[in-house]
Amino acid sequence: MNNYKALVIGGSAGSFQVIVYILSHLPKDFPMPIFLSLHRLKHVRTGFIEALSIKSNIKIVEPNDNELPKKGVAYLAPANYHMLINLDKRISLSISKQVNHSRPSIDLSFQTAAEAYKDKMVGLILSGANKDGAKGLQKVYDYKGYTLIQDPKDAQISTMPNAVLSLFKPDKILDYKALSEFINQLK
Amino acid sequence: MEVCDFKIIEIKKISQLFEDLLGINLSDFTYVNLKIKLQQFCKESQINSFDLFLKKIRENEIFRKDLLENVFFDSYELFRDPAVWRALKEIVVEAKHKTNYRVFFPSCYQGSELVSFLILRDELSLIKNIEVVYSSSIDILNKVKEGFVADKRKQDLNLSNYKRIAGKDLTKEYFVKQQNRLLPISSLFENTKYYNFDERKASFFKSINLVIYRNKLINYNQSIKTILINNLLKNLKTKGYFVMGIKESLPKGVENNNLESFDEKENIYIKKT
Repeated sequence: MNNYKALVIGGSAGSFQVIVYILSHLPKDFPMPIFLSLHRLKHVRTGFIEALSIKSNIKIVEPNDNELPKKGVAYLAPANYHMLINLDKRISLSISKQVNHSRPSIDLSFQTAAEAYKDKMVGLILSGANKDGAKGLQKVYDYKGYTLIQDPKDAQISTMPNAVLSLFKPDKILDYKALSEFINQLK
Repeated sequence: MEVCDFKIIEIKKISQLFEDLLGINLSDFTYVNLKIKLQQFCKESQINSFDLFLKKIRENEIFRKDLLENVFFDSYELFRDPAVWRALKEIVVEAKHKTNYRVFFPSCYQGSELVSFLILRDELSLIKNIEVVYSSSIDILNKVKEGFVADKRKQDLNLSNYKRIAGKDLTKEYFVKQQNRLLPISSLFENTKYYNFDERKASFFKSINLVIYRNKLINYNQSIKTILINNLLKNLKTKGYFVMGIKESLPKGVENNNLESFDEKENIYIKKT
């Protein structure tokens, strides 16, 4: 799995343990930035990043606006902001309207990353209780990026991966352990 | 591809149309920010072709105005980031012992931040002590006064934020219900002034004690950010405060040797000289 420049992961209810598992099994020199667009409580600014960092093998940060992403760093969408990727690959934050009742919106992260990275990105949808992210991942697919979903049978809440399946057939459907193994092979 | 998934060339055409029709330059916005706002508006308006979108901008004044407001509009809520408002409360009590204390809200396209401060000012009994000035480069005064304080479709005021900072719910004191909407009471707007001008060019007024400019710059390109901030700083008094969004940083080219961090976590700066 060669030549990818970014991994974008979207998740909501039931995705926390999977994210922790993936982050704790990553190589320390993971060769691309990871963007984590995860639904979270909008008024709670602290605690989430600390909880994710406990077992993570790579640094996790909440980006400031206009930050240039680095390889081997995970960027967690800040509470109550959309996390977008500009065409110059810089992170752009937004407080525009909620999308799918969500801010951060997974759809917007995927959609803007797909336009910036085109076929050089990997998109992954995990467990979640609404449809946010499905259309965005389809955009990744349209731009010929690589698309992954957590197997609905493996997901705590299958609405989100099933929403993807209702739109198109992603490149791979894997359980959380296989997802982690797959991600670790990305170059 | 969806109709509303505009390409770069289409966004340039829309920007050019606004420049030609209204002299408003949308190229100050970052590409992704402008794109998602145009896209959201296009979807909500159920437009089914790009040509129709252009035609409506060109020919329908109400549509054009509505679109423009949506581009400038951000979905704030009252007392967003309660910790910031707690910090501001501590700062503005200094107005009790000062004369001509002035607080400025630039780029005020909807009133959530402004109304939050007006409530805070009232709570501290500082209406007479603090003059509040707000401005925008498109004329939106009536929207703000009429209570355009949140998403006009959903009106998500998020009143729970207020409870977080004040520990009580004073909604009934500061809002009146009108046609299923909560509007801020008019007395909150005492000792306030509104200006409609281009903040990139105006030298407006000196002697501001506090500038509240949160989450505005995230919409804009780097070059215009620097111009806007430098212009604001010129008008800020020595020892005056400058408040940015908690995820914003000062762009390169800003005379930041003149600023020092006052509250790093809440992104509040103080002007040194």
